[in-house]
Parts: sequence; structure tokens; C-alpha cells
Amino acid sequence: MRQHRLSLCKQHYLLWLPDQVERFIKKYQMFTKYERVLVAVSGGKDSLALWDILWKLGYQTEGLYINLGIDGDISYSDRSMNFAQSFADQRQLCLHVVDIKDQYLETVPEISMRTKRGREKPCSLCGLIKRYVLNQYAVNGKFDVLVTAHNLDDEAAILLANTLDWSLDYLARGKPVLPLKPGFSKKTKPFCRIYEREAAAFAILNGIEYVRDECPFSIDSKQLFYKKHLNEWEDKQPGTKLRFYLKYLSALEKGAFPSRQDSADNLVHHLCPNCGQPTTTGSLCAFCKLFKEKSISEENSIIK
Amino acid sequence: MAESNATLILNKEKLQCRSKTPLWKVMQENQISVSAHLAIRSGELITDDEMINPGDLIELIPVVSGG
Repeated sequence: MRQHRLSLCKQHYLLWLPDQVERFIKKYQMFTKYERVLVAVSGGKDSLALWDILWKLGYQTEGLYINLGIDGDISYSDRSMNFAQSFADQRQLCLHVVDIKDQYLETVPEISMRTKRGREKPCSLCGLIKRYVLNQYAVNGKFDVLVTAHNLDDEAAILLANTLDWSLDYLARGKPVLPLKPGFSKKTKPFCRIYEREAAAFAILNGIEYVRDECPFSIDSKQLFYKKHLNEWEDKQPGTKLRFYLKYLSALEKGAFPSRQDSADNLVHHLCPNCGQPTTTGSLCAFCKLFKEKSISEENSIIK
Repeated sequence: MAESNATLILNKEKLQCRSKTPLWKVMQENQISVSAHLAIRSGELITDDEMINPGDLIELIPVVSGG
């Protein structure tokens, strides 16, 4: 690990990474061993490695898998769910599953095809649906904290995108912990300083089986584009991604990106009249609007 | 192909490469990002400063995901 100027054997690596994760959990006051933690599980290397580490460290975890109904000729969602379920079964952990098709009568690709947002940016639609379902599940299930396995590479790629766009609202809320607010669960990212490569190495060394196929929708995604360039820099200057992220957190701490009065965080949240989740619009939340669009298009097709 | 060569496997494609060279250098020569891959030889994960031996079969596993 050139970025840390450290070389470890398998045995010590498998001790080192959980130690690092626990250090960051404590440093950023993410959660304690007395709290109920809901882990967002995708069946990929990051979320399964994180769940394994939290379980071994003695945290009270339950997992949540969201079946988005993505097939892509490889049964992507079902295969991912099988990896998550096998992982949970082997460790006798509780995995909750929300099936989008069962719950909302459409898969994410189907929603994507009929909505403007989905056709233009399927990943953005997918993100909206996952954020909504995860938050709703964590709040309704009375979990103390929702944990996602965003790693350092994810954070650096998001940071790069937000910096290129000067998205001040997003830059103001890039901390690894988002506090509990009415209607919103506390959210944390214990892998925020863990390289994607380190998480993958942990999964492989630990014999964790994970889905290796990429989401069929992620081809040409912006995030992969930014990650590719960040990795080119990292190859030439090991530690670039970590430095970029840590310097940003330090600048954030010093008030470089103050939260503006008109930012989404500071707006008064109303309750969505359909689902009761918080929204800044005063009408339906973005998630419920997806399904309102469906009923409007169905009404139009009946009129025709 | 000279006997002192080795083979890299990336996305099911085989790539002949020279041996007696550190892995990172061979990856660099083939424009494969070290930061974006892990390497497995004989079922064991190896670091990128390991020397490649003649006849080695090294699988490179992409680690980047996202959407």
C-alpha cells in the first residue's frame, strides 16, 4: 500500500483494516456498540466487507438489500441479492429485503424508461430510489444509524464532480456523518477513508463471495469516468485520493463551504402528503412524483 | 513467444508480458492502472511490487465499481 507506505502480510492485513475502520467510526463519532445499525447491502465487495468488519467488531448490525429489478441479461439484481443472502446466512445475520417491483409494481429499469429523469440519468434515478427506501426503512425500523459502504474512491469521485461544478450545496454537506433530523435517519460512511482496492483486498483475502459484474446501467457513468482519472493520478502520485479528501474535510471543518440559507438543508421541510417523508417542495416528494408521472401517463393513454 | 514470458489475464483476455520484472512496471507498460486492480497468482493475492516469474499466470481483478 504505497499510499500508506505500508506492506502487510495476509494475517496482519485482516487485522489492520478493521482497526482502521473502528478508528474512523470513533474519530467521526459515527455510532457505538449500543446502537442499532442498518447496513445498506448491495452484494458488492464494499458493503459485504464493511458488514463483515462491523459484525466482527461487535456492532449490532442488520442488513438491507434493495432489489431494484435490474436484469441486463445477467440477472444482476437477483444474483447480487443471492450473494448478500448467502453472506448473511453464513454468519447468521439478519438481512431485510425490499423488492421494488413487489412494493411499487415496477422495476427500476421500467421506471427509468417512462420518466424523463430516468431516461437521461438512470443512475440518478436509482440513487433517488435507494436514498428514499433506505431512509424510510431506517426511520420506520427505529434504527439509530444508517450505514453505507461509500469508500474513499467514491468520496473522491463525488468531490471531484462537485468541485468541477462548484456545487456549493453538495460541497457543504460532504461530511462522513449526516446527523439525525426529523424524518431523516443519521447516516454514516465508515469506509470513507478506505481505498476501494483495500476493501476489495479484504473481501478476497477473507473469502467473501461478492458480485463482480458491474451494474449494466453504470457503463459510461460519470462516476466511473472520474474514478478512472483519479486512479491515473493515484498511480503517478500514491496518496492523491486520500490527500484530496482529507484536505477537503479539513477545509470543510474550517468553514470553507458554509451552508447557505437557501440550501436544501436549511429549507423548511414539509411532509409529503402521499408518503409522509420530509420534502422541501411543499407538495409531493421527488420519489412520489415518479409514480404520479405514471398515473398521469396512464390517464393520457386511456383518453387517447 | 519466449520461454521467459508470463501471462496476465484481464477481463478473460490473455496478455503476454515479460517476466523478471515487477508487476507494477508490467502493468504500467500495458497501460493498466495499478490503483484499479488487484492481482492473483496461484490463488494468492500479490502486491504490485512482486517480481513476475517466467511462466506465471496472473489474474488482474478490476476493483472499481460505481454508477
